[in-house]
Amino acid sequence: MKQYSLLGILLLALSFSACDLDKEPYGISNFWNTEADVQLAINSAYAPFYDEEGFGRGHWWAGPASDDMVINRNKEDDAALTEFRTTVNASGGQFSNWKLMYKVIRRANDVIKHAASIEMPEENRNLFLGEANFICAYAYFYLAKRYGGLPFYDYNRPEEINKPRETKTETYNRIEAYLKTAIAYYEKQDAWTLENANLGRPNLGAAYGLLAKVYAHWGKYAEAKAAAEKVINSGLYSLDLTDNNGYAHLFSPDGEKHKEVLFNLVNKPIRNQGTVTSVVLLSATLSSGTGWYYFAPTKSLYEAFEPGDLRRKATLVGAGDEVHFLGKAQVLTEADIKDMTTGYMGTKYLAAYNKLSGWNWESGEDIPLLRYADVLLIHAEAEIFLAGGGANNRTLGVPAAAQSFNEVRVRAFGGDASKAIVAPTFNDLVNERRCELAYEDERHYDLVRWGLAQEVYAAATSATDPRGPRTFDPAKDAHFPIPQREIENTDYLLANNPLDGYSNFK
Amino acid sequence: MLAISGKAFSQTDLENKKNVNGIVLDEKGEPLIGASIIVKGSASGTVTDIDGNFTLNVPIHATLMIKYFGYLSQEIKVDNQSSLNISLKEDMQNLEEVVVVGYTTQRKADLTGAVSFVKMANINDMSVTGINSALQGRMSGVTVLQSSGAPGAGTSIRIRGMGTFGNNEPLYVIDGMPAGNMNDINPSDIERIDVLKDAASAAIYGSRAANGVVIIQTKKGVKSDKINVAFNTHHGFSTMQKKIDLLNAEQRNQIHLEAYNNAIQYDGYTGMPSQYYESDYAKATRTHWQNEIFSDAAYQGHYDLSLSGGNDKFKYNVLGGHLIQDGILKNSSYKRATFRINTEYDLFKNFKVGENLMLTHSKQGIVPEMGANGAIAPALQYDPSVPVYKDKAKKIYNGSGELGADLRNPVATVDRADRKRTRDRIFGNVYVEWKLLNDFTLKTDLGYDWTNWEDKWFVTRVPEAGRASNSNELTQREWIDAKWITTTTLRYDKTLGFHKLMLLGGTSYELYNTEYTNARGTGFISEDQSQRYLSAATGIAWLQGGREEWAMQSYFGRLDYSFADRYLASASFRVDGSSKFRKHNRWGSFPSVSGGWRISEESFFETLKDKAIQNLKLRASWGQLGNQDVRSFYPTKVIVANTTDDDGHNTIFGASENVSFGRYESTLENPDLKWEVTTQTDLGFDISFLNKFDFGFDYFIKNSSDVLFEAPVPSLAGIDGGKWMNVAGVRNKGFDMNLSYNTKINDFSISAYGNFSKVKNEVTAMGTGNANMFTSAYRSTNITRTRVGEPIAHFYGYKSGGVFKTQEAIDSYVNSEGKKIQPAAKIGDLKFLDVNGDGVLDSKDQTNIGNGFPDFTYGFGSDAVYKGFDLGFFLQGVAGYEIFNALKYEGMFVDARYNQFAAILNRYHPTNNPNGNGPRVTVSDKNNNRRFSDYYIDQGDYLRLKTLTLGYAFDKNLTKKLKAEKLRLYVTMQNLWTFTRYKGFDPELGETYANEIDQAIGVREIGVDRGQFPQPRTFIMGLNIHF
Repeated sequence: MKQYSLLGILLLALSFSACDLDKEPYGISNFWNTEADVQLAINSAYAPFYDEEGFGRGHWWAGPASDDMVINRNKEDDAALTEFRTTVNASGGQFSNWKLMYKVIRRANDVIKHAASIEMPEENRNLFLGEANFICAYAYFYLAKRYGGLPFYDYNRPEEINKPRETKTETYNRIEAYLKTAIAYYEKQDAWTLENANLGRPNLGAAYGLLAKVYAHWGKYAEAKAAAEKVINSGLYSLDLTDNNGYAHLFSPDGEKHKEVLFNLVNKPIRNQGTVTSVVLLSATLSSGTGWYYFAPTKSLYEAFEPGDLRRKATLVGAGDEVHFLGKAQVLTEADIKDMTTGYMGTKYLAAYNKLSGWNWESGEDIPLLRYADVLLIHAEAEIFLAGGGANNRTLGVPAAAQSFNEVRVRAFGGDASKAIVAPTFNDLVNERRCELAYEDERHYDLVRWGLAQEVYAAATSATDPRGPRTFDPAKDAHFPIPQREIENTDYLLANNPLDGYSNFK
Repeated sequence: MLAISGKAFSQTDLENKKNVNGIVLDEKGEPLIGASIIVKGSASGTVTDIDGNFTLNVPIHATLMIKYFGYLSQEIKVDNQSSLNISLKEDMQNLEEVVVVGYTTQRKADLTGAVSFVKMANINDMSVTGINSALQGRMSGVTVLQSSGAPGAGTSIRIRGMGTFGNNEPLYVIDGMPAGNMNDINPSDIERIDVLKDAASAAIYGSRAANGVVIIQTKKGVKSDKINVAFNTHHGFSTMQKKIDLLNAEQRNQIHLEAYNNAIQYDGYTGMPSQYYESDYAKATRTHWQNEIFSDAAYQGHYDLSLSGGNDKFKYNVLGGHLIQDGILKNSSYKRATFRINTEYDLFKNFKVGENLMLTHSKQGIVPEMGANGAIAPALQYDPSVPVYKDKAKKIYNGSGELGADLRNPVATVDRADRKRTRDRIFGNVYVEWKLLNDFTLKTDLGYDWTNWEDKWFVTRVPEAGRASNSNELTQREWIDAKWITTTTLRYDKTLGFHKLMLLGGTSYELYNTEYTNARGTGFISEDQSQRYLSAATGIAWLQGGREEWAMQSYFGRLDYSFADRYLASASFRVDGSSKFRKHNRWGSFPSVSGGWRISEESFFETLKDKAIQNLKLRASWGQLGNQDVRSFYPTKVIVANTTDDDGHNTIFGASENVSFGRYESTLENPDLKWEVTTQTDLGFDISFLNKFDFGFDYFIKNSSDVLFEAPVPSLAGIDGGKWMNVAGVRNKGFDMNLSYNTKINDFSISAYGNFSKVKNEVTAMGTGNANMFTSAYRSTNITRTRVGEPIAHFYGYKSGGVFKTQEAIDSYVNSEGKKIQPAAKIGDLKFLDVNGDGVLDSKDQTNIGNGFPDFTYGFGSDAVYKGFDLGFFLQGVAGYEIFNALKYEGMFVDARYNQFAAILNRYHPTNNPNGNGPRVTVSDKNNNRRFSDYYIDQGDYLRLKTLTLGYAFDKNLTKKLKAEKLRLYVTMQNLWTFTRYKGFDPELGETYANEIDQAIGVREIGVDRGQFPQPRTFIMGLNIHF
């Protein structure tokens, strides 16, 4: 019996050897406790912007749909989209970009969700919430311009990750609400400008400016005008006029932090601390294989600039132009840029290379995400439209638009006041926006919302655009198809464009 | 072995007894040590001594049963004889053999489940180059995958197909200890491998056994009056099996110019081809890039030495091995040193202690393979006119040349590669085994598995054009993984008359933790080897460190019962609790039952037994198994990450550009995640007939429900990865069978074996809330889809209908309204089918265009021995197997920056190649011929001579002069010959991301060729010598 009891004890010992099965993650998983956590969280919303498919290259996939630039490499999926030949969006770049923007949205939402209940000084909370709401609006608006109505992330229901699109109107309502919320928080702190350490983050100027733009895209010009005037009348922002060539100065490391920039993606010329934006446009032959030469500007864009317009060289160059790279000046030959199929090369964001000693994928050039010049032109546009101008009345001169309009235009000519237009017309505005904002992801969306895309693209000739005339159908092509991979990932829950109410305001 | 218990004999027995002595020999006249001599109908008996002699007191009319492991038993009537000379024949079918099953062993005859095994002793001498070559084809339903041809890449086993997404790796149990893989083991150390295929056999292992169990036992010492010394060595080389046929420079020019002409003529293309094509320079082929990066003869060599022996109480086996292996991709290499010491000591009566210990050190030199920064894909695309070097003496490489490819010079990539992965591992266990109260065995086992990994990867500057880079970096990652596992079992054995019973109960606890430090340093001023350390960096891109844990607690029991050796039954039950699940789903219980009927033991069978059928057994089993093997340690929790982690971005703010970073929720929690459960039913039979043949057949249905997988989630979730979910139900249904033939005619013995497996895979349910799931993409387009009623991860794309060869064919391809379905198509373009019949060609026409599951797999081989000579070969085949050849995207469509495959010459062109069947070439592909369609699907069927070995063992008389017991020389060849129509490197595709062993992402796709490191053809000469 003794042996049996020993056995019994052993068995008992075995069955009680149960050990701990509650394992918690170590390290940083204990999050959302302090203000410092919120600071890190809001910072994380910016990281996707730095990705190759964020503001490295991702913001240009819509550009070749305009008449400003072409896809300079063999990318049939993107070519088919930007030539309006398909309803299937197989662009890998667009898919990644879509995904990145939703990361921004998610991370900003997490801040909104948690910041309210974490202990911190009220003024800091206001700034965090202003910033987070602004970033949500920015990312949604960016996507809405491309795709129309969007699926909406609701931080109160984070488990709902497979949702249908909202209509375009609903999406714009959301964007408007985010911006109004951001403004309300920022107003509490009178956050028109931020301290030096936070330069680059949005402020009240950015929030009102973006709101003005959103309204312009929405066709709500009275609201657009009012919002733009908030920015203008603050008196705190101005165009860069340095050395009578402020435009070039602004797009160089020397001027990139100018107060013309309302919202800025700050870059350093170091891997993981900047975007690859500059290298994307660069010719490979010019740079001994470094440049990616993804997009080439059209002759049509070249010719849009009047003689004497200083912006041209800061935007694109061709053979005969002088360029400065790696501290060395050279006059471009055709052979230097023979990989640029249009004969021109985009130079926006390339000035930083002049400061570097060797090629680097990250040039360190900041990427302005919203500029005062854009707000001024939105203001001018609102005045023109409110006065009855527009695609149906293109030559109506509107003196009320003159001040905002000419501030931008005169700067482009080195301050030459004779270039001012007393009563700018819609036609003047169209070309001014084109030249001022080339390569800034505006032209195609502008033409579409003004109802000009069909006419402009059909009128192109292969002399000014290697693709020749393109057939744009406003009913079908107003927005890009939703990335096919995303449609599939939602198992076709996302209805594709064109779709009434989703690819238009209905 | 046989339990001989001393029972009191009756008086009558004692009266009629006498002493018998004898000797037991094998057919060659060598004594058999330890053969059992048992008096039939009683429990008395003895064993033979070292010279094969025995003495036994027996009743006068007794019948003696003489049994020896691996030999046919004999019965002898004693009658008047007092001295017996017994010769035992070797048993080719060997039912007495003991098979390792969960936590215990069973006679092969008693098995009720589907179990296969391989004794390495039989194989070691044939070829010792790797576990894979030893196992391949020896067992039906067991596929051995050499996951990549890269040196040091692991070998893994798939049992009855790929049952699930995610991890299909079976559970490896090494000397009783569960392990994730068998990669560090020196094949020479292995005694035998048992594979549990059906659920009832594997069920006692519960968790992780759903994909089957591979039980590996290493060699133990045996009682011996001397130290047994064995020395093995082999040396040889590997070479490419096949290179892909590429265009030469002249053909390239022709095809590219044709592509431009087509584009200008038909597609409104306005660009002009580069003048380069017309230059004399462009016309000469100067470099065959594949020849430059692949070695013709990559050396490999292996040495191992073992010392073993022991006495009655103490037994030992000490082994050491060293392997050097160069890869066929130049500069890739692998070195491994292994050391093992296994001992066992009988501390006192019925009380044994023992240990198994393995120490390994390995170093793998890795050359990037895939992608634009790799070596293999660019070698297929690089300009053949460009010489490798600008200045060979100064090692100045040429850039990508006039056509502007964004690719790195493949030779430079190979030469500059500096990535070393070192791994040190301690793997071992200590156990105590105590036999108590006659029938009980208590065993406690404490195991420890510790691995220290270091991955050190220096990326240099790249000056030449292509993907030039002015920055360099060192990424250094270290992990220390440690696993503790304790297992305690209590076993009860009882034989009562015809009843034989085994009961086993046990518990185990497993604790796994990993600690890691990852860092990347940048901005190295000098790239000298001496400077390639983190301290020499001028910047730190990121720094990560952490600790992760999981644990599992298990309870299990097993019952084996047999009646009269005829009716067999077995049942087991296991309960597992895993820390990976939350409390409400933490525990899973997994039952199994099985039964067998040995018809051949029935009395009515007696007459058949002698000549026709020696053994016939029916088996049936049913069981459930659980799986909790998700890559994440905390799938039910949210993981917070830094934006800088793993090459991520900093964030920069402020007038003075202050560098900061962000922190965010990087995963979605799934609090309701639960066990994946596989229910398997197996019906089978084993038959041995005509004294020479063995045949086994199993039919099985394996239903996996709540399959665990990191399902892709919509972008709205705002995270990078997917979400761990119980995504689907999958059914694998099929059968496997094997036939073997063994015979011996005088000096000639031959064994031949063959096997055949057929598995059908079908998704039975989706658990994601969606009807379709897309798990894998190429060039950012989904290429696989999973849905109910079709195989998991089948290929997804358009269906093509050949090339339009006339304008009429294009014009007549219209929908019901008369509108052209492919308005952009030109002569020579591919026709794509309007699969859904809605009159337009769009994404909704993408469909199931094939899958990578073979219809069936088969293998056959033979080992023959004549006098000193031995010859062995094995062929493996796969049929009804499709490959998604993703490399066609670059190889079969013109991108003027790159070179293409020679097969593109089969393009259609009305005048240049009117008989062509491929789509026309163009630099402006407006019909989008390049879209993923069945044009990418190739037949992957193959039959491959996996191994061929020829050996010669020197005559014993000769070897004795050298004081050796055995001396054998052999040559062996692997992958010598392949019959296939597949044009890629290798139809035998491993799993796609096999190289990323540190982050096995599981199976998201099956049969997709992304340019994996192909398996080499290997020639080896070796020597075995035993003292």
